[in-house]
Amino acid sequence: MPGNTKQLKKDVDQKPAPQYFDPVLDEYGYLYGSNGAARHVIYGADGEPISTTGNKLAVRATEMETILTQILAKIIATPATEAKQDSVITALGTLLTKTGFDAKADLALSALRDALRGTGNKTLTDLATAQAALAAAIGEAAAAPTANTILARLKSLEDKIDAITSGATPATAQLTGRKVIPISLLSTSTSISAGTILDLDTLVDLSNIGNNGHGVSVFIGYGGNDNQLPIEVYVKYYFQAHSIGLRDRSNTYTTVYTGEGAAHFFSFVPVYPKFKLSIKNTHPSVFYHIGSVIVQSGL
Amino acid sequence: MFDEFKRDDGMVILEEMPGVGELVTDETTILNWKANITKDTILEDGDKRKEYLKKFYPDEY
Repeated sequence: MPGNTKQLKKDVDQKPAPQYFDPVLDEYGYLYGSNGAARHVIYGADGEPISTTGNKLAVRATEMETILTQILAKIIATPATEAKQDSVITALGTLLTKTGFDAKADLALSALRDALRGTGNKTLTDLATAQAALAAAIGEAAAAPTANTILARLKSLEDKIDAITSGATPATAQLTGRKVIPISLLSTSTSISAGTILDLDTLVDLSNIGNNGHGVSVFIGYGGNDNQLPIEVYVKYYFQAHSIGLRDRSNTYTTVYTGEGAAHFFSFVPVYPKFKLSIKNTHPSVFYHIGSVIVQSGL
Repeated sequence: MFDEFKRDDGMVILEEMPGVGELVTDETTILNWKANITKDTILEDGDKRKEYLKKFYPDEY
């Protein structure tokens, strides 16, 4: 309702007191103030009351806040205080009391220089001279470097490697490993009739090549026909008796291989280092044409 | 008839091959050959069985 429908506030003498009309409360209210001035609500250009957050007074408050934020950002979050400085002083004092720590000596540039160059040289010029001498000793490649310098020794090493590479002075090297020794028991093409045994004369003596329980490999090559024939391979061991010489260890054939083919390859471990091999053609009617027998063993 | 060709171990020597060894077999095998191979049997080249039979039975082969 408009203000002309409401009654004015009165003072003690029942006269109208200084007052204002509040349209929200729909009544008049006493006008308060202090320091000789009445209270006022300031309105901005948009007709809304000036506030501390949204509708601020146009006094460049925003620019001031921005700059203030920038300044605060440049200041550390927790600036130094007297208490903190005192704690640093205490810590430094503790450090200086440590055994062997001499702040003055350890910080002296001359001491550092002496440690690098030796106490006999007292100037930085000496240090520079020494560095130049070191550079000269290492230096670039020279045809005839001074004897016993690092460069001279490198050149000597290089010359030796060149000699090894060219073969003029081969390097002496020792190799380790097993040396495989092939022993040919048969190189003559031979026919083995059906049911017959070829006793090979060659005595395989592995004791001379240090065979000690190692296996041997045997290759039997065909010698003309490539029939897939069955064969058996036997071994007879020999031993050296002081009184009677080389004798058969056994009169019986010991089978070490049974197979079928034109060529055969197998391995076995000899019980004794001296033995002979025999090959039997076990086919009932077809002869076997054998070309070669090779035994291989290693040191 | 094989006695002169027999070794200590009882095997019959068919052929001695210098530098190679001996070709041997047992009596049973030779008798088996004799039962299957006649004078007129044609064997493959290199098959010496008839040759060996001739050695042991010169009158029949």
